[in-house]
Amino acid sequence: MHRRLWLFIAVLVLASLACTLGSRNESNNTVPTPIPTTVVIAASPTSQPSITPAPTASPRPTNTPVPNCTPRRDWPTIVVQPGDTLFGIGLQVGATVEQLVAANCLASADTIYVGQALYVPSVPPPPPPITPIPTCPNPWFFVFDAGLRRDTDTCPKPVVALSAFGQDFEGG
Amino acid sequence: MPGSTDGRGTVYVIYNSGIWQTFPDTWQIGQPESDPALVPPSGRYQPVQSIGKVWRDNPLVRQELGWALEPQTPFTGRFQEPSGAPDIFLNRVPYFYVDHGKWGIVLRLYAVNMGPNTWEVAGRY
Repeated sequence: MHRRLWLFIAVLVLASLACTLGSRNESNNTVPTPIPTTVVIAASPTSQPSITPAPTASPRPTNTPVPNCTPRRDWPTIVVQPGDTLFGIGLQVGATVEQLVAANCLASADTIYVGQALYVPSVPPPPPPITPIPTCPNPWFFVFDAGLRRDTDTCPKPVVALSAFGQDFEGG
Repeated sequence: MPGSTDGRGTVYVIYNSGIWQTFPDTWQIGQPESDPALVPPSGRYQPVQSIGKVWRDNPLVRQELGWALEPQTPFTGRFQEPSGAPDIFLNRVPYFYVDHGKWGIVLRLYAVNMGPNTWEVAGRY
Protein backbone atom coordinates (compact mmCIF):
# COMPACT_ATOMS: atom_id res chain seq x y z
CA MET A 1 0.00 0.00 0.00
CA HIS A 2 2.75 2.37 0.87
CA ARG A 3 4.62 1.59 -2.31
CA ARG A 4 1.49 2.01 -4.41
CA LEU A 5 0.83 5.43 -2.90
CA TRP A 6 4.33 6.47 -3.60
CA LEU A 7 4.06 5.37 -7.20
CA PHE A 8 0.89 7.32 -7.64
CA ILE A 9 2.51 10.47 -6.37
CA ALA A 10 5.49 9.94 -8.59
CA VAL A 11 3.26 9.69 -11.64
CA LEU A 12 1.54 12.92 -10.72
CA VAL A 13 4.78 14.74 -10.25
CA LEU A 14 6.20 13.53 -13.51
CA ALA A 15 2.98 14.16 -15.35
CA SER A 16 2.82 17.62 -13.89
CA LEU A 17 6.39 18.20 -14.86
CA ALA A 18 5.66 16.93 -18.33
CA CYS A 19 2.72 19.32 -18.66
CA THR A 20 4.89 22.16 -17.53
CA LEU A 21 7.57 21.25 -19.97
CA GLY A 22 5.03 20.87 -22.72
CA SER A 23 3.46 24.26 -22.13
CA ARG A 24 6.87 25.86 -21.85
CA ASN A 25 7.84 24.34 -25.14
CA GLU A 26 4.65 25.59 -26.73
CA SER A 27 5.20 29.09 -25.45
CA ASN A 28 8.67 29.07 -26.97
CA ASN A 29 7.28 27.82 -30.28
CA THR A 30 9.86 25.10 -30.42
CA VAL A 31 9.41 21.51 -31.27
CA PRO A 32 7.97 19.91 -28.20
CA THR A 33 10.18 17.52 -26.53
CA PRO A 34 8.65 14.11 -26.45
CA ILE A 35 7.31 13.54 -23.04
CA PRO A 36 8.64 10.32 -21.72
CA THR A 37 5.44 9.23 -20.15
CA THR A 38 6.30 5.68 -20.79
CA VAL A 39 9.18 6.18 -18.52
CA VAL A 40 6.78 6.83 -15.76
CA ILE A 41 5.03 3.55 -16.36
CA ALA A 42 8.28 1.79 -16.73
CA ALA A 43 9.37 3.41 -13.58
CA SER A 44 7.38 0.98 -11.57
CA PRO A 45 9.74 -0.15 -8.96
CA THR A 46 10.97 -3.51 -9.96
CA SER A 47 13.91 -3.41 -7.78
CA GLN A 48 14.54 -6.69 -6.20
CA PRO A 49 14.02 -6.70 -2.54
CA SER A 50 17.25 -6.59 -0.81
CA ILE A 51 18.20 -9.86 0.63
CA THR A 52 18.09 -9.65 4.30
CA PRO A 53 20.68 -11.88 5.75
CA ALA A 54 19.16 -14.69 7.65
CA PRO A 55 19.24 -13.95 11.29
CA THR A 56 21.79 -15.92 13.00
CA ALA A 57 20.50 -18.04 15.73
CA SER A 58 20.71 -16.10 18.89
CA PRO A 59 22.56 -17.94 21.52
CA ARG A 60 20.35 -19.62 24.01
CA PRO A 61 20.19 -17.42 27.09
CA THR A 62 21.84 -18.85 30.02
CA ASN A 63 20.63 -18.36 33.46
CA THR A 64 23.12 -17.00 35.74
CA PRO A 65 23.04 -19.29 38.70
CA VAL A 66 21.63 -17.68 41.70
CA PRO A 67 24.00 -18.26 44.53
CA ASN A 68 22.77 -20.18 47.49
CA CYS A 69 19.64 -21.33 45.63
CA THR A 70 18.38 -24.88 45.47
CA PRO A 71 15.86 -25.65 42.72
CA ARG A 72 12.67 -27.42 43.71
CA ARG A 73 13.65 -30.74 42.26
CA ASP A 74 10.80 -32.35 44.12
CA TRP A 75 8.37 -30.53 41.84
CA PRO A 76 7.28 -31.81 38.43
CA THR A 77 8.57 -30.00 35.40
CA ILE A 78 7.01 -28.49 32.36
CA VAL A 79 8.74 -27.37 29.20
CA VAL A 80 8.49 -23.74 28.15
CA GLN A 81 6.59 -23.36 24.90
CA PRO A 82 6.72 -20.46 22.43
CA GLY A 83 4.74 -17.58 23.82
CA ASP A 84 4.96 -18.75 27.40
CA THR A 85 5.62 -16.29 30.15
CA LEU A 86 6.24 -16.98 33.77
CA PHE A 87 3.05 -15.13 34.59
CA GLY A 88 1.02 -17.29 32.22
CA ILE A 89 2.66 -20.46 33.47
CA GLY A 90 1.97 -19.35 36.99
CA LEU A 91 -1.73 -19.02 36.20
CA GLN A 92 -1.78 -22.56 34.87
CA VAL A 93 0.05 -24.16 37.74
CA GLY A 94 -1.21 -22.04 40.59
CA ALA A 95 2.00 -20.28 41.46
CA THR A 96 3.20 -16.71 41.52
CA VAL A 97 6.00 -15.44 39.35
CA GLU A 98 8.10 -15.00 42.46
CA GLN A 99 7.52 -18.61 43.46
CA LEU A 100 8.54 -19.85 40.03
CA VAL A 101 11.63 -17.65 39.97
CA ALA A 102 12.66 -18.95 43.34
CA ALA A 103 11.84 -22.58 42.62
CA ASN A 104 13.92 -22.54 39.45
CA CYS A 105 16.69 -20.31 40.74
CA LEU A 106 16.11 -17.87 37.91
CA ALA A 107 18.00 -14.63 37.87
CA SER A 108 14.82 -12.86 36.81
CA ALA A 109 11.38 -13.53 35.42
CA ASP A 110 12.57 -12.64 31.92
CA THR A 111 15.19 -15.30 31.53
CA ILE A 112 13.10 -18.30 30.50
CA TYR A 113 13.47 -19.69 27.00
CA VAL A 114 11.64 -22.10 24.77
CA GLY A 115 12.48 -25.66 25.63
CA GLN A 116 13.55 -24.87 29.13
CA ALA A 117 12.32 -27.19 31.83
CA LEU A 118 10.78 -25.41 34.76
CA TYR A 119 9.90 -26.79 38.13
CA VAL A 120 6.26 -26.10 38.91
CA PRO A 121 4.14 -27.08 41.89
CA SER A 122 1.64 -28.95 39.74
CA VAL A 123 1.30 -29.91 36.13
CA PRO A 124 -1.66 -28.19 34.46
CA PRO A 125 -4.36 -30.57 33.33
CA PRO A 126 -4.39 -31.35 29.64
CA PRO A 127 -6.91 -29.41 27.59
CA PRO A 128 -10.23 -31.18 27.22
CA PRO A 129 -10.47 -33.23 24.06
CA ILE A 130 -12.40 -31.62 21.27
CA THR A 131 -15.66 -33.47 20.90
CA PRO A 132 -16.50 -33.77 17.23
CA ILE A 133 -19.96 -32.65 16.26
CA PRO A 134 -21.93 -35.81 15.64
CA THR A 135 -23.28 -36.37 12.21
CA CYS A 136 -26.94 -37.04 12.61
CA PRO A 137 -28.24 -40.13 10.81
CA ASN A 138 -31.67 -38.52 10.53
CA PRO A 139 -31.99 -35.00 9.21
CA TRP A 140 -34.68 -32.62 10.32
CA PHE A 141 -37.48 -32.69 7.83
CA PHE A 142 -37.63 -28.91 7.74
CA VAL A 143 -35.39 -25.90 7.91
CA PHE A 144 -35.34 -24.00 11.15
CA ASP A 145 -36.20 -20.36 11.09
CA ALA A 146 -33.39 -18.11 12.18
CA GLY A 147 -32.73 -18.37 15.87
CA LEU A 148 -35.38 -20.99 16.48
CA ARG A 149 -33.14 -24.02 16.77
CA ARG A 150 -33.43 -25.14 20.36
CA ASP A 151 -31.63 -28.47 20.26
CA THR A 152 -28.26 -27.88 18.67
CA ASP A 153 -26.73 -30.59 20.83
CA THR A 154 -29.01 -33.39 19.76
CA CYS A 155 -29.94 -35.25 16.63
CA PRO A 156 -33.52 -35.76 15.60
CA LYS A 157 -35.30 -39.03 15.84
CA PRO A 158 -36.70 -40.44 12.61
CA VAL A 159 -39.66 -38.70 11.12
CA VAL A 160 -43.01 -40.28 11.86
CA ALA A 161 -45.55 -39.89 9.12
CA LEU A 162 -49.09 -39.11 10.20
CA SER A 163 -52.27 -39.52 8.26
CA ALA A 164 -54.28 -36.61 9.48
CA PHE A 165 -57.12 -34.27 8.76
CA GLY A 166 -56.78 -30.57 9.19
CA GLN A 167 -59.26 -27.73 9.33
CA ASP A 168 -59.05 -24.00 9.88
CA PHE A 169 -61.50 -22.17 12.09
CA GLU A 170 -62.56 -18.59 12.31
CA GLY A 171 -61.62 -18.12 15.93
CA GLY A 172 -58.92 -19.44 18.15
CA MET B 1 -56.28 -22.34 13.57
CA PRO B 2 -56.58 -25.94 12.72
CA GLY B 3 -57.85 -28.83 14.58
CA SER B 4 -56.46 -32.10 13.34
CA THR B 5 -56.38 -35.80 13.96
CA ASP B 6 -53.13 -37.67 13.69
CA GLY B 7 -54.32 -41.19 12.99
CA ARG B 8 -53.33 -42.33 16.44
CA GLY B 9 -56.56 -41.30 18.04
CA THR B 10 -55.60 -37.83 19.10
CA VAL B 11 -57.15 -34.54 18.11
CA TYR B 12 -54.82 -31.56 18.33
CA VAL B 13 -56.42 -28.16 18.75
CA ILE B 14 -53.93 -25.38 18.13
CA TYR B 15 -55.11 -21.93 19.09
CA ASN B 16 -53.86 -18.66 17.72
CA SER B 17 -53.25 -17.54 21.27
CA GLY B 18 -50.17 -19.75 21.37
CA ILE B 19 -51.53 -22.69 23.32
CA TRP B 20 -52.62 -26.13 22.22
CA GLN B 21 -54.68 -28.96 23.58
CA THR B 22 -55.19 -32.58 22.76
CA PHE B 23 -58.32 -34.66 23.03
CA PRO B 24 -58.77 -38.35 22.52
CA ASP B 25 -60.44 -39.17 19.24
CA THR B 26 -63.65 -40.84 20.32
CA TRP B 27 -65.54 -40.63 17.05
CA GLN B 28 -66.09 -43.93 15.29
CA ILE B 29 -67.52 -44.81 11.92
CA GLY B 30 -71.23 -45.28 12.23
CA GLN B 31 -71.67 -42.46 14.70
CA PRO B 32 -73.25 -39.20 13.52
CA GLU B 33 -70.70 -37.10 11.65
CA SER B 34 -72.30 -33.82 12.58
CA ASP B 35 -75.26 -32.24 14.34
CA PRO B 36 -77.91 -31.15 11.83
CA ALA B 37 -79.30 -28.79 14.42
CA LEU B 38 -76.16 -26.69 14.24
CA VAL B 39 -76.47 -24.66 11.07
CA PRO B 40 -73.40 -22.65 10.15
CA PRO B 41 -73.71 -19.20 8.69
CA SER B 42 -73.04 -18.69 5.02
CA GLY B 43 -69.48 -19.46 4.11
CA ARG B 44 -68.79 -21.38 7.28
CA TYR B 45 -68.80 -25.09 8.01
CA GLN B 46 -69.62 -27.33 10.89
CA PRO B 47 -66.68 -29.63 11.59
CA VAL B 48 -67.46 -33.29 11.17
CA GLN B 49 -66.28 -36.70 12.30
CA SER B 50 -63.38 -36.69 14.79
CA ILE B 51 -62.77 -32.96 14.81
CA GLY B 52 -66.50 -32.30 14.86
CA LYS B 53 -67.07 -34.55 17.85
CA VAL B 54 -64.43 -32.76 19.89
CA TRP B 55 -65.90 -29.47 18.73
CA ARG B 56 -69.40 -30.45 19.71
CA ASP B 57 -68.54 -32.21 22.97
CA ASN B 58 -66.38 -29.42 24.37
CA PRO B 59 -68.23 -26.13 24.59
CA LEU B 60 -65.10 -24.17 25.44
CA VAL B 61 -63.35 -25.49 22.35
CA ARG B 62 -66.33 -24.70 20.24
CA GLN B 63 -66.58 -21.23 21.69
CA GLU B 64 -62.92 -20.57 21.11
CA LEU B 65 -62.73 -21.97 17.59
CA GLY B 66 -66.02 -20.79 16.21
CA TRP B 67 -67.13 -22.17 12.87
CA ALA B 68 -64.82 -23.83 10.43
CA LEU B 69 -63.63 -21.76 7.51
CA GLU B 70 -63.44 -24.76 5.20
CA PRO B 71 -64.19 -28.46 5.06
CA GLN B 72 -61.58 -30.66 6.67
CA THR B 73 -58.86 -31.83 4.33
CA PRO B 74 -56.61 -34.88 4.61
CA PHE B 75 -52.88 -34.50 4.66
CA THR B 76 -49.84 -36.53 5.53
CA GLY B 77 -48.36 -34.84 8.50
CA ARG B 78 -44.95 -35.35 9.97
CA PHE B 79 -43.87 -35.65 13.54
CA GLN B 80 -40.31 -35.49 14.79
CA GLU B 81 -38.66 -35.02 18.13
CA PRO B 82 -35.07 -34.60 19.30
CA SER B 83 -33.21 -37.65 20.44
CA GLY B 84 -31.02 -38.00 23.46
CA ALA B 85 -31.80 -37.95 27.12
CA PRO B 86 -35.40 -37.39 28.10
CA ASP B 87 -36.15 -33.74 28.44
CA ILE B 88 -37.06 -34.12 32.07
CA PHE B 89 -33.43 -35.02 32.79
CA LEU B 90 -32.22 -32.07 30.79
CA ASN B 91 -34.42 -29.74 32.81
CA ARG B 92 -36.21 -28.46 29.78
CA VAL B 93 -39.74 -28.59 28.59
CA PRO B 94 -40.41 -31.59 26.35
CA TYR B 95 -41.27 -30.63 22.85
CA PHE B 96 -41.67 -32.05 19.41
CA TYR B 97 -42.16 -30.81 15.89
CA VAL B 98 -45.29 -31.23 13.89
CA ASP B 99 -45.87 -30.51 10.25
CA HIS B 100 -48.76 -28.14 10.39
CA GLY B 101 -50.08 -29.64 7.21
CA LYS B 102 -50.58 -26.31 5.56
CA TRP B 103 -48.56 -23.33 4.46
CA GLY B 104 -45.32 -25.27 4.72
CA ILE B 105 -44.68 -24.38 8.29
CA VAL B 106 -43.58 -26.60 11.15
CA LEU B 107 -44.74 -26.02 14.69
CA ARG B 108 -42.76 -26.71 17.83
CA LEU B 109 -45.20 -27.96 20.43
CA TYR B 110 -44.14 -27.72 24.05
CA ALA B 111 -45.73 -30.15 26.46
CA VAL B 112 -45.74 -27.92 29.52
CA ASN B 113 -46.10 -29.74 32.80
CA MET B 114 -48.94 -28.44 34.95
CA GLY B 115 -49.56 -25.59 32.58
CA PRO B 116 -51.06 -24.82 29.23
CA ASN B 117 -49.11 -26.31 26.37
CA THR B 118 -47.55 -23.70 24.14
CA TRP B 119 -46.39 -23.68 20.56
CA GLU B 120 -44.44 -21.57 18.12
CA VAL B 121 -43.44 -21.72 14.49
CA ALA B 122 -40.03 -23.42 14.35
CA GLY B 123 -39.28 -23.66 10.67
CA ARG B 124 -40.41 -24.24 7.15
CA TYR B 125 -40.10 -26.75 4.38
